[in-house]
Amino acid sequence: MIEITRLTRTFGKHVALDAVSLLVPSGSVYGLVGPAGAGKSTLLKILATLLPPTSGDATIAGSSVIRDKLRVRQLIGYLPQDFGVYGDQTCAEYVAFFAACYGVPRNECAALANDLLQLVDLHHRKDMPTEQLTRSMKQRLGLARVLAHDPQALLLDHPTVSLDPRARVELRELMRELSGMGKTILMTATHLAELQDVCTHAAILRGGRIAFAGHVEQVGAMAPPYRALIVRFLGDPSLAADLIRRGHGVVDVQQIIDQSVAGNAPLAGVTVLKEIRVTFDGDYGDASTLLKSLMHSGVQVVSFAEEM
Amino acid sequence: MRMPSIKLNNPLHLNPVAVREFVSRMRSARAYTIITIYLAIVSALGVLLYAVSFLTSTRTIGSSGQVGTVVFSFLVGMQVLLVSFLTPAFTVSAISSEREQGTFDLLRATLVSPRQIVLAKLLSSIGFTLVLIVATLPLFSLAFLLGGVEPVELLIVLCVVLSSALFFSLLGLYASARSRTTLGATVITYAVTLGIVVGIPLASLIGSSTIQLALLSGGRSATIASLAETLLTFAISFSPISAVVASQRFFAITGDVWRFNPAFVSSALSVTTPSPFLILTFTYLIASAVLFALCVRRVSRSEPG
Repeated sequence: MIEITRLTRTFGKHVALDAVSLLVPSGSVYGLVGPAGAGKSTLLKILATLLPPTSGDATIAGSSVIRDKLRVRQLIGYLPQDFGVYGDQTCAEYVAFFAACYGVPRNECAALANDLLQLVDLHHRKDMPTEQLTRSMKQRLGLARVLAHDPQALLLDHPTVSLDPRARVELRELMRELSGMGKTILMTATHLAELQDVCTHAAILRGGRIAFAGHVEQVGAMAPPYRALIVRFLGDPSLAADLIRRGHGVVDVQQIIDQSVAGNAPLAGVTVLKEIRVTFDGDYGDASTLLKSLMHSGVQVVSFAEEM
Repeated sequence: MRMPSIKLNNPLHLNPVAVREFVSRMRSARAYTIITIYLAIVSALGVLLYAVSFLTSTRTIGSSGQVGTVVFSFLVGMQVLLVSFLTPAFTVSAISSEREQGTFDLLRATLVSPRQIVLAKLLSSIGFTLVLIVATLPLFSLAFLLGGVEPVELLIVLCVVLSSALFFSLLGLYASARSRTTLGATVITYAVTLGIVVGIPLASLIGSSTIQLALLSGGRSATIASLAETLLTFAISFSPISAVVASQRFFAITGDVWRFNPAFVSSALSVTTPSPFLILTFTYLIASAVLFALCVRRVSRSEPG
């Protein structure tokens, strides 16, 4: 269904994708896993015909993303990581608008939007302005949008990111439903665990290269298990984040912002505890070295532990 | 689930982006506020000008014609200023806001081509500008009622206003397609617009005053001064304000709509050029075509700049 052949993409001297080859079988749910900057989003953008590759090619149902752009756009539905909505449109208008952009006749768009909103369980919000939707609802609205022209393949960039656990479960259910409808799904995530229970296949992308690819069980067994370290500290979060990023075995660094204090100035006399989540594949020695470097640099570490 | 049928290249399939732009623009209270405020200002100033002209002019046969000319000139000036400064405001955020709100890639991934996207944004802006122009037409009828205005003068105004609407809309659109942010696009667009609309007539005025002073003091040769005056004659054709004023004044004096042959202060020589409004219309149409092509190219690219 999706065949990627020695696809390379460079930005100046930076090689985002380095001769990536991958075969996504028809009807599969394929997880593309890797740390931030591994090239996942770049790969999806190329498949969505939004970015030309530097070399190599990819085909979707036999159509090249370089030569047959219009045909490819008919075949795919693309959901970027941070997609937007038109705040002045309702959910139904939003889906109907994109359906029209894919050539669906105007008199069919409204009924189609209703059907799709029902599929993603948003029909009760069809007249709600899109700007009032929660993150999880927006994600489902995005899925309704990508289905508007009944594409054969779905390219979903981090569909579960920043969703609460319940919304993640709902979204996975929806993926299974779509897979049951015969759609080929290629989606990205930072950790394999996020996708493991919904994917049939997976590939690990690191530094623009495929490290492992195959059935999800095989990849799960071959890929080193990522752990998450939670570091709580006092002081400058950017200094701590920089130091952690340089540590051996660090795959990804996420600063966790406490929603109760986000956007508010800290109260006088109150010390705000900072928290960083580190995706880590190093050994205990690496973890110990990381802790030592933080403490020697003056970061007041309060706790340093594996996430349970 | 109902399966949609895709119809590509169907000429009867309306450009959905254009439909969305029109609906979105006319749905907002902003559109009606702009129309109301604009009409209120132009009407109030028009009536005030009419009253002042009527009270100060001598009550003789033909004096209403003078009032009509004053009212018409004022309305033309307002219309040209509106088109020059308001139309880019309708397009300056057209592409950059799509980028800012994260809908640009969604749109580009559809079957709507970059050319259709640019055309939709342009048509929506021009359409709204036409609504504003049409809304002020009844005020022009007042000038015609008073007399002193030839129908051919309306042709001059229409050519300048319509070509300026197209050019300044595309200027805003191009800046929007080039810039990462709407703020950046706004700064670039208004700097260029101000330079064209106000800068050119001002530079021409300063230039002609300098020539006169230089000739009086005998510091420049008549040949150089003639050359400078020829350049200034062309320069005024590139600003809608100076082009429309020069074309109308010359028509009022000589009755010639198509040619322009001003008397030079530097020498008895003079050059005959097409009327400034013709040069402006032609130049703006060519520039608009170039800007349109550049906009399409920018929209085809993934990143701005």
